[in-house]
Amino acid sequence: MQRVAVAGYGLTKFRKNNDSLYTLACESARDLFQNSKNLVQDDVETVLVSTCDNAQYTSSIISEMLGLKPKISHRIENMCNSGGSAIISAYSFIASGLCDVALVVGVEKADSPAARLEWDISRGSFKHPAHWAAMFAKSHMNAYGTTEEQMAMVSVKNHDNALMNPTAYFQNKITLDDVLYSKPVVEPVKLYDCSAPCDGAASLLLVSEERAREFSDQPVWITGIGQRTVSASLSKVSDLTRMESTILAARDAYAAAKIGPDVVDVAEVHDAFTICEILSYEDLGFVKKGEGGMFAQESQSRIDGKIAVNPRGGLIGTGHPIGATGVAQAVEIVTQLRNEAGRRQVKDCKIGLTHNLSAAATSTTIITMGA
Amino acid sequence: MSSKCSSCEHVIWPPSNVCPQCLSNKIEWVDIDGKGKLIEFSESFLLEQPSVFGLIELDHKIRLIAKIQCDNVSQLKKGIPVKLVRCGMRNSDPYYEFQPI
Repeated sequence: MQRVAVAGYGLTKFRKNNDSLYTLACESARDLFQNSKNLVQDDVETVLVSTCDNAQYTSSIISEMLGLKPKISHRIENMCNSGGSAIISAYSFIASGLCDVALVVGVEKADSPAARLEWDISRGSFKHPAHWAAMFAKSHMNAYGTTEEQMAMVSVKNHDNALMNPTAYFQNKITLDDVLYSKPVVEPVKLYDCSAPCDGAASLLLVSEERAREFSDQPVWITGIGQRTVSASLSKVSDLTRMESTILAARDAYAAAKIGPDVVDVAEVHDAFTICEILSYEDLGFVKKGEGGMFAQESQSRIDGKIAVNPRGGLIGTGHPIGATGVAQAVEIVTQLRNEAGRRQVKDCKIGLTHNLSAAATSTTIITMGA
Repeated sequence: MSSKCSSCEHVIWPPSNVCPQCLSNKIEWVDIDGKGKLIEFSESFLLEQPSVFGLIELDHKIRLIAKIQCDNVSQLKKGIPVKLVRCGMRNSDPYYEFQPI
């Protein structure tokens, strides 16, 4: 198996306007080409597009618009973890020797069809994801004493981080009271505990070890991947205080990378709701079960904390263009590991990971990078 | 009602034409007892009016999210028995309503 590195990236400003899916996708890919070393169109052998949009033939269209004629090109959809899924697919094509250079483009418009899991009749009339988030939050609060203030601190942190990220959709400073007094959505989840849809695109260039130095002086190695699907419907979620697919996917990724959670310096996790971030501290192994709330409360997940979590602002701070999110998470980790994060820079970071999930954490994709 | 596999007797939820246990396609409809247990609950402000709802578990580990009829959310507790009072379709979504027993 070949080792695989990230050799380049591109990102659009996350926003909401009339730009088409294709305009967004190409904007992020142009950004990648402009910031890459030596990369020409003929180098790109694989194009994987991550989107939940209903449009057809998106990877071929985007390839044509970018003047690419890839060997392997198709779309990958896995609801909110489309991005992570597309990255691990590109990784696999390179690791297996099928190609040396792969472009992953994640893109979404704010009004994506993936905002609700229509198939799942077990959710009845309560299809909005805030309903499962509220039940996870209540269960965790009952079991471990997690508080609404601790959840709110996650939102404050991620908004603070987004202020240092010019591509983030949200650029506003909020206080703990702003979150606590924001409109209740589904008790105890309030407006500021939720991520919001928006338009956006992110691109990543993956390359084989053999060709890595052609395209980057600082290739960032993908050291491990892990994915797990436990179901699609909420009806199969047995324990509302943990994200089972995250625990299992993380175990696989850490094993592949031969690391443990204790050496992770920086992580971009899937804060679709603040409770998801608190759960991720536990289910990724950063703290013991039940201690996630305290980790947030003690500011341990801030940029200067024990593990910098969501330095780009996470989903809550940057917005959630569904197909782009998993790719944008990876862009941030690469940026951090290359020391290019400016004001958001996490000091001495060597090892990072991305955590991307869908639908009440019925599936999760994890990618570890660095060292 | 939900699906039941004629080959291995597994009760399938959500209903399906294939058995996830044994992959048989010999599936029949089966009545499900409307009595269950309240796993978790809360109040939603996302529908036309504030609605108390919860995750309910019926026989055969069938779980679903349903509206709960009650005067006040403080009347509810995790684990209490509940029973189905109404189900159907509303605005092209399935609709289930339970009340505490």
